[in-house]
This record gives sequence, C-alpha cells and structure tokens, in this order.
Amino acid sequence: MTITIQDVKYSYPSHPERLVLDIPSWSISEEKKTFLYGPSGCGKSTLLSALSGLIKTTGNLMVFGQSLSDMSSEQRDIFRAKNIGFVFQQFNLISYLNAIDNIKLASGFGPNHRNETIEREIKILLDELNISEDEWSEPARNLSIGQQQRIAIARALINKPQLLIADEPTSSLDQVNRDIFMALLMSLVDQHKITLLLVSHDMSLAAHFNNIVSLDKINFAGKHS
Amino acid sequence: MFIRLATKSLLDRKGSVLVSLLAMSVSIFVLLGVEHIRQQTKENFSNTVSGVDLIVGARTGSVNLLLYSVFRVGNPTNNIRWETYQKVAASSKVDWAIPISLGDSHKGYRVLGTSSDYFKYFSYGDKRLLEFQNGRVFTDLFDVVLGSEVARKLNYRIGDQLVLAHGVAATSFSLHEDRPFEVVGILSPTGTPVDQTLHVSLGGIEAIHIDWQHGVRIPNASAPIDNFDDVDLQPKSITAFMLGLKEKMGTFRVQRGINNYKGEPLLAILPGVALSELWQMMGVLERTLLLVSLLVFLAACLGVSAMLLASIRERRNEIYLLRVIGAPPRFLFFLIELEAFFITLFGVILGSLLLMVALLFSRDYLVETFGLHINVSIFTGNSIYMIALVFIASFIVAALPSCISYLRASKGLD
Repeated sequence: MTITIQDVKYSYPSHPERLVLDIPSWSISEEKKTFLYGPSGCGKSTLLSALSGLIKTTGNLMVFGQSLSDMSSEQRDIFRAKNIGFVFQQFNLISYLNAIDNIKLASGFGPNHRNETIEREIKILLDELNISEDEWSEPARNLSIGQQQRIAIARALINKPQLLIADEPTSSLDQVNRDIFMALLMSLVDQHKITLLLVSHDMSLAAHFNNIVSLDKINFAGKHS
Repeated sequence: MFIRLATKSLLDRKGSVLVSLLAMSVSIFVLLGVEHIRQQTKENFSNTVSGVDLIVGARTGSVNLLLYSVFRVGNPTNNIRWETYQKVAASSKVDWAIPISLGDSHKGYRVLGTSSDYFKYFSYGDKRLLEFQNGRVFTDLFDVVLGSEVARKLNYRIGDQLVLAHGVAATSFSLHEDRPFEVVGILSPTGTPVDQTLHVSLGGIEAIHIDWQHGVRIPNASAPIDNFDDVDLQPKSITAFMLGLKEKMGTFRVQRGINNYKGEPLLAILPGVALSELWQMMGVLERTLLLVSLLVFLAACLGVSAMLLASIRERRNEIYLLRVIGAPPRFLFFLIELEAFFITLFGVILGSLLLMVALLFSRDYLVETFGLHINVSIFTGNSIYMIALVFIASFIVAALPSCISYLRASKGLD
C-alpha cells in the first residue's frame, strides 16, 4: 500500500475542540491514480499536509509502509523530500528564481543532492515537458501559468518520488491548457510508475483516474454530533 | 543554492533591502568613524610629547601644567626662577633640560622661548626628533623657527620678517614692533602643537621685553637698543622646563626631590601620567559619543529586523513551498540569518568605504581646524573587533524573525 490511514484525527492548535480530520480507515494502493474530491472546507488541504508530514496527526498514518506518526519533524522533512512530489494550484515556484534554480532547489533537499549531473537531468526533464530553452533562465514570475505548472511538474519529479500529490493543479488553467496539463501529467505518472493523488472539485477531471474518492465519505470530522 | 536563494531573495526586495542597507551603512559609518577618530585623537594626544621624563613648572595642577607647557593651552599660574632651573639642570641625574618661556604670540600662534637643546632633545610620536623642512635652528637673537602650520597658514618663507605681540590674545595691540624677528627655519609637520608654535631663543624673549613692564612699554624709556652685546639677556624666570634623565629608574626619586624643593614651590609631572589624566577627563565625552553611535547602530539593526519580520509575512507562500519541498525549519532560520548577514556585510563594506572617502576628503580640514592627523586606513585591531561585534549583534537581532520563522515551520503553520 502507498498510503494507509487508521484512526487519524487532527485539529488545529488554535481550535483544539474542532476536529478537521477524523478518518477511521482509508488506503491507496501503489501506482493507483486517485481522484479526491469534496466541497470547500471539508479538510482536503489538511489531509494533504498530514500525508506530507507537515502536520502531525494522532492515529496511524503510513506512507510506503513507514509511519509518519512515529517520525520526528526532521525525519518527516527528509521523507517528504525523498518520496513525495507536489503540484499546487498556484505559488508552485519561487517567483524570483528561474526554472532551473527552482528545480535545483528542490533537488537540494532530495536524495541526489550531491549529484553532479543534476543540471543535465533538469534540462532533460524541462525538454521532456516542452519548455523551451529561452524560458529556463527566466524568473518564474515572467512565465505564463501554464508554463509555471509544467515547471512545477518537473520540480515535483526531480527527486524521483513514488507519490505525487496535486492540489487543484488545473484551477488556474483554461480548458485547452488544462487538457494539455492533464495529458502530460498522466503520461509522466505512467512513465515513472508514480502513485498519483489529485485533489480537485472539478469533477470533469475524474475521467482520467481509476480510483475516485469523496473526502466526505472517509472524513467524519464534525459528523458525529 | 542556499547562498544563491538568499541573494536572489534580497535582490527581489530591492526597495526595502536598500533602505535597510543604507541605514546599516550610515550606522557603521558613525560607529567606526567615532571609534576611529577617538582612537586617532588619543594617539595624537599621546604622541604630542615623548622621550621627556619630567615636566617641571610652578606648583599647579598636573593637567594644567601639561596643558600650558605641551599643548600651549591656558596660562601658567606662576613662573619659576632661572636659578632653580639651573640648579635642577645641573643635577648629576639629569641628562638634558629644555627651558620653556611662554607669554608672547604672533597672530594667535603662541611663541615659545627656549634653547637650541629643544631641537636636539624634544621628541614626539614614537620618539621622533623635530626635523627641519627648511632652514636651521635659531642662532641669532632675533631668529625665529616656525612650526609647519604657522608657516603654511601665514605664508612665511625663510628670510621673512615678523613682529611678535605681547600676550597670547589672537588680536593684540601691544606689539614688539621695534624688534622684528627673521624666519630662519621651518619645521616639518608633526601633528602636534609644535606645528602651531613660533620658536625663539630665551635671549630673544628677554631682548624684546627690555623697556617693557607689566605688558606695556615703559613711557619715556631710553632710546631703543641696537646692540645687545653688552646687555645681560639671561632670563630671570621661565615658565617651565622639560627634563630627560640619565636613568629612567630614578624618575620618581627625582620627581619627589623637585616636588619637595625648598627654594620655591615646584611641580614635576610625568607626561604620560598627566596625558592619561587629561584623557580620562574627556572620558565622558568619549563615552557619550560611543553611546550615541551604538544607539544609531541599534536603530539600524532593529530596522533590519523589522524588514525581515515583514518579509516573513510577504513570503508566506515561498516559505510554505520551501517546507513542502523538504526544507527543514533550521533551513528557514539560517536563510533569514544569512540575509541579515549579507545586509550587515554590505553595510560594513559600504559604511567603511564611505568613512575612508570622508576621511580622505576631510583630512586637510581636520589638520587645519583641529590639528588632528587622522589616518585614512580605518582597519585597526580595535575596529576589526568592533566589526566582529557588529556581526554578532546583527545575528542576535535577526534571531527574532529567524526564530519566528523556525517556530512557525516547526508547528506546520506555514
């Protein structure tokens, strides 16, 4: 299993009485493409933070057989850099760095951070994602949203993660770019044999996935009362 | 990549960073400037006289004696008898003695009556003897040797004639017009009150005061004397004298002997000790200046800290992204510390350069106005120690935003 959750509960320190996550049981098997949907405020982003180890939950949260609940903060940071790639709706890149630096920065925290061929690998990846050479050295803020999203995929893949988490990655894209982005994402996920967890409220994307989950069905936070 | 991220991040916030950098540079300029000028002034001060073991004058305060005999500031309380001087100078423990007679001036510059031994034994700085830029030591009665500043400011050359004035006021109406002096020597610059002094022989001083009493010419005095060969020009009294001893070990014993001299009340001081006393009197001013410059620096540090704190809010998404790609909280801590370090580093470079340029351009002004010879090279052991403290202070002040960033990242709030 890629992800296994048992009795995971979480509430923010500012409102300890209000549970945001209350998931008795849930799992995702390897190389599955999971589409997670739900209304705003149902805990999607909190669940992604928990899966990436940015927040510590109670219960048992296992990713690739390792319990994030038992890891220290530092161990979770290393685990995240090594195993999980992220693509967001926006703020995917550091705006004042160019494409190469953004990707190199991410690789710096990964397992191959001393790899001398990293720059070559980055260029190959950018080539694969159809990003022209002129744009490699442009600060991210000068690129279109579509270009930024593709560079974000390259950044997410540079450390060869086993799990890719995408949080509303197409929300800022128009129809054409959204289709191009999804096609690219799916082909890369297949090619690199990565487990994909995509969160969106756009149900039209569901067709690309073989596992469709409503967060409402697995998260019981606020429902017991 | 860590350094690259910090520099690019700073460059991305050019406006606020530039203001912080300027504030830091100005504070470094003030801090190093005050410290450097203080240090150099102290050095100038202690360089004023060297190699003199004792200064002897009429009984007064040691600082007062030092001020009028070395710095030509203030007036002596009394004179000492010539016989007393001769008696002390003839002591077997004394190697050399330089008599000093003050009381006249020329266009605001003090006139020092002395013997030719003054040019042989008086030293300044690191026991440097006086050197002649032009000319020679006075030999005739009405010869005068000028300090470098007197010659430069009043535009005197060898062979020029000048008239001394009775008293030390900048503007005097009691002039010794009938007995002009001829410039026979101009000393090289020393950075000490010697530069602002006119040196004449004791005989010269006596000669111009024949027919004078209580600061004015005696009315109906006999006709001016043209030939002084038969006139006794030995002074009856002098203002003070400097002593060089044969054995330094015996300095305190000689000092005690002079202070207990029964013939007349005398005071013998060790120039080094009196200089320290004088400097201690200026300690309040020195500490106040340092405190003001420290407050300026503190304000600049707080400015940098405030800028970095504001940047954490601005960079919320960037910090979150860094956390997501695996940056540990300590990475964020050191990233903000590194940014503060860069601002401090460039502040130190810019502030130091500004100070050196300012010193370069104001060097002549400082010499002319205050008689201060300030070295343009500001990097001494003391200033490097101060720069190290600046970096430590900036690290401590930047720790606040760094810790906030660290704690927020640790708690998963960003």
